[in-house]
Amino acid sequence: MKDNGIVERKPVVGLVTLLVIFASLCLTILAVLSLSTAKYEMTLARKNADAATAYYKADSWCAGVSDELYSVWMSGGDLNAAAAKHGGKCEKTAEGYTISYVCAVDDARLLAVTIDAGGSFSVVSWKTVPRTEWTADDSIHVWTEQDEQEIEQAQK
Amino acid sequence: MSRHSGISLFLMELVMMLAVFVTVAAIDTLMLVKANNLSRQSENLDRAVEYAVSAAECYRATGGGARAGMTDTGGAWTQYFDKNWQSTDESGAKFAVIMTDTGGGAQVTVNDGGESIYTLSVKAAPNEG
Repeated sequence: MKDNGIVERKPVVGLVTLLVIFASLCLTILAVLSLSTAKYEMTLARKNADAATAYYKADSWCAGVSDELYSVWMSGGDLNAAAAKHGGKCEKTAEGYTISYVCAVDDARLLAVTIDAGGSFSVVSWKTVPRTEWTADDSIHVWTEQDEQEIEQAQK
Repeated sequence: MSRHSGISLFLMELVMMLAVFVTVAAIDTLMLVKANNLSRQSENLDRAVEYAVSAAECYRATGGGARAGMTDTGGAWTQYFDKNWQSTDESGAKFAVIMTDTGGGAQVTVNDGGESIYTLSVKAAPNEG
């Protein structure tokens, strides 16, 4: 205290630093999170675009093969040979032939086509299927007395 | 004397922290602007894929683009959109979906201004009979 009764306050050193560090940290976290979200969004959009491109590429290939098989069917040619040329199968049925072939869309999907080439030439199925067989896990692990005993033994 | 040195220390800290804050704010603003641009680009790409697939499916089903809301301009079908992807005419367009017949198939291109952002090729539906 001075002689005239005025209280002398010392400037608080360090408080501004703390405030600026806190504000900068908040701003930086916000910016980094925004940028990482936007990058993930972009990656997802690119994957979606690539998936669509890959599907239509496979679809075009399958349509080309189908047109070729149609020409062979119209001219009464060898459908077995035509299907085998593209890795497909041609099975004789009571009404004619059933031709099936696949084209890889991507690492996980195949485009599977089935064509009925009997009295008429028609597409029976044109669908994407998973590349690997899905094995369903229908087992449920239920807690039993045996499990409890095993744990007790392990603890001992 | 000690009071003066305390004030100058406080001012020095204030100036330094102001400089630090300005620098951090500038870097963070750049990051936010980049995030905004990326977000807009990904939204545009999503929309472009959506409209390209729609046009391609329409071509497969009908052999044209009229059912997808496209206008026949002689060998090509076009559809224009403004910056918010609202359908508009050519004069106010930012995005253009152009489908050109390639003989037995079609190529769908989505342009942003003059730049292509997505292209898709589709073949006509297989022959049946």
